[in-house]
Amino acid sequence: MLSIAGLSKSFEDLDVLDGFSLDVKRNGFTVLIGPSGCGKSTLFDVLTGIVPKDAGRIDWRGKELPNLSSAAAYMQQKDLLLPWLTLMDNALLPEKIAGRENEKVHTRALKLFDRLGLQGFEGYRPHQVSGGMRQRCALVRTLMFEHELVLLDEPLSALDAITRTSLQALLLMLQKDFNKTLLMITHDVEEALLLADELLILSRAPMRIMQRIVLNHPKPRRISDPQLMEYKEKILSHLQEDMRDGSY
Amino acid sequence: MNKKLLIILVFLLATTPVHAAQTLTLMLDWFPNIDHLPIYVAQQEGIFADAGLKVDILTPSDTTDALKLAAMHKVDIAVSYEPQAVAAASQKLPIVVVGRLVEHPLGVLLFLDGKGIDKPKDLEGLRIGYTVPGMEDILLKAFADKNDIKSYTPINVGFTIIPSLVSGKVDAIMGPYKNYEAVELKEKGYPASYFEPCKFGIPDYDELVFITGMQILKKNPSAIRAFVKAIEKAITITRQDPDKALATYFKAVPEADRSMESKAFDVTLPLYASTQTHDVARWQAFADFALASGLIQHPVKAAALIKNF
Amino acid sequence: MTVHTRIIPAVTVFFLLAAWETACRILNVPDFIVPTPTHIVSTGISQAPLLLVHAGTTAGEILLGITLALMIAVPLSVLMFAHPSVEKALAPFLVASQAIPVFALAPLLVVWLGYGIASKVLMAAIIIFFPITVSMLEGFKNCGREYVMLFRLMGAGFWKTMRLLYWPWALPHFFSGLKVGVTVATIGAVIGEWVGAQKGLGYLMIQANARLKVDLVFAAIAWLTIMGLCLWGFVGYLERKVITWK
Repeated sequence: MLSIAGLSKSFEDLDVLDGFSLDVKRNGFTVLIGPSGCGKSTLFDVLTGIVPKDAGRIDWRGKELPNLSSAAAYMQQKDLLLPWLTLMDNALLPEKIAGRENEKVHTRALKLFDRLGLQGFEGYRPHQVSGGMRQRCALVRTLMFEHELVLLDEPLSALDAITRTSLQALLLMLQKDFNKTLLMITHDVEEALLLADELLILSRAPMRIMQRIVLNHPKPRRISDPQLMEYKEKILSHLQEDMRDGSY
Repeated sequence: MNKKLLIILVFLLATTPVHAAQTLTLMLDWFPNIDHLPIYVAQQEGIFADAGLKVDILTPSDTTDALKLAAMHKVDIAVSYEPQAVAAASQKLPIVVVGRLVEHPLGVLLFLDGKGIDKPKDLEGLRIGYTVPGMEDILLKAFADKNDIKSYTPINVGFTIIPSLVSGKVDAIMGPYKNYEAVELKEKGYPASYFEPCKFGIPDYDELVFITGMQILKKNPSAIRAFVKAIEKAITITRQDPDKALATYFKAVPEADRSMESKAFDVTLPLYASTQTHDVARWQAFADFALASGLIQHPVKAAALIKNF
Repeated sequence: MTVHTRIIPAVTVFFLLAAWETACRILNVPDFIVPTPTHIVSTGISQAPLLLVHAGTTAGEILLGITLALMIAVPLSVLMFAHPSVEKALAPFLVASQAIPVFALAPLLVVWLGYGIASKVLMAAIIIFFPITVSMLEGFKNCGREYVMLFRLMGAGFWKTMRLLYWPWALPHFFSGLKVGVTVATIGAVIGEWVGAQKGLGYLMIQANARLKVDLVFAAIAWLTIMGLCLWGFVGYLERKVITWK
């Protein structure tokens, strides 16, 4: 569904992306894992259109797009909730901006709040609720876009382990119940193994896919599963090798 | 030399009192200007030195500084104004008026020529400025009362005297000096005239006087007396040879505006104090007027305020 | 505020005043140089009708000055943020407005605007214009880049982002600038009154000084101080009411 071909982007002298290609299946959950500075964030910056690409092609559902800003919802590490708005108003922000705020939209948001376990908290301010709840509110905002493709830039890394676990379940829900196609970046190998249908290990800049692991294990998964533990070791050693080779 | 003669000489020297020069601090009322000329003449012509005095002349930042500092005996002598001295006395400041510098008022009610103002009554209904709130506005009111001016608009112009008159923002101003702003206006091409308050019902008073703190007078009456006498001599010399006195002043105050102050001198010369004797009755008349007009709230006994040497 | 935070300043002020009173009495400081606090308070009360009239005038000048400053500073800061070229062009004037000694400006304003209230209002406005503009501008610029990106991704243009993001973001900065501004506006109004006024606490101060009524001068200063404190407190109150998310 998502097809990235020959994507290139350089900053000053550094080629961050040099002919990067990637395909993501419809309703798939693809996770990118790589060392910091490899260019994963640049990839997302280019995909969302924040930064223009130097060369390459992006296709979504067969149509070429300059970037995915019209086709994808984007979630980051920081919840980026506006502190002066209630959770409901934050969730409705995209609608407010587009001038589409109305009864229907309000009801849709309420339903999402319920599904994500935030019922009763719509009138609260971000500083009055926990980090996990804020991230869930950001998720509601993301879902209000009703885009099928969701780009996730380390969305759970700022959370504690317990909150993370419950939000990982929410991400799986996005794939299963909301039929989303997910492309996620993380540096947490365990998290990647719990969520991914396809796990791609990235190299340092210029970024390329070093290793592709397809996981057919049924979800939800347990990290204690021996095969997953084996994968974890393999992935970690790959990443370490790449680091040693490099002149960081 | 003869040994006997030497002993007599030493004996004479030992018993003759040798006066070292006494230092007095004098603070002016404002920047040095032509009104202060006698002080500078006394300094430059050695009159202070002959009287055994060394006078340090200080400039204030506010017209009430000198008086307050004298009352606090932080300066020995202050140049001040009779109305201000009366006000200070009514507030029980411990001061004494010891000397006279300018024996008639310099402040006038100034207006431009050609505005149809010939007598005080012509000011009826006009906008009249004043320079010092608390002083000039009260004098203005007394002037108006004594001259049947039933209504006028008082405006505080501060010291923006010339711009206010020239721009027509006010029709007249109470408070400019006749030897200063009046002269300056003429120089700038705006002939002006004035009413002298004393000719129209306000009691006569000294514009500039010398004041000292009561404590200082008690401690060192001879030095103060010597100062007052020196001023008297300086004024006499000035009247004998005005041109020389003026040249002496300019030498002592090089930053003075020569052309302006020369013209101001012509107006000021007849007004320097002709005697250092204070007229107590005249002071009391002014003090009574001050009480009646609201310049002061508590009565002042002139006799207690003045020292005639 | 807890009881604690209310008591400590009150006690401190009390001790300072007591020290002042004692020092004056022990050192026999004359009344016409520095009056004792008790004397100032009694004058402040006995002359209250007089002080009230003048305080009213000065208060009016300050409030009008603040209003004028806000009416110009706020739109101007928005404009400067929207168009950095405008900011560059106006920066030297902004700095000049703060650097010019207000004492020098006062007589000029009187000559241009006359002896009415206009020159005093403008003096107050000029003095507080700078802190407000600068703090608003800083507030806008301080906005987190990620938030700006988020708005861009949501398809918001500059003016929508200004209304929904930059403006609320800058409000805390605005209030800091305003707090500083209202206290210096007091200074502006008083200095304006020193040059050509008919009424006002600044005018009263000159008048009282010329008549050697130093206790009245200090009483006027005391009233001015109280006015400044009230303004500060009011802005603080507004700030708490508006900024509900900190």
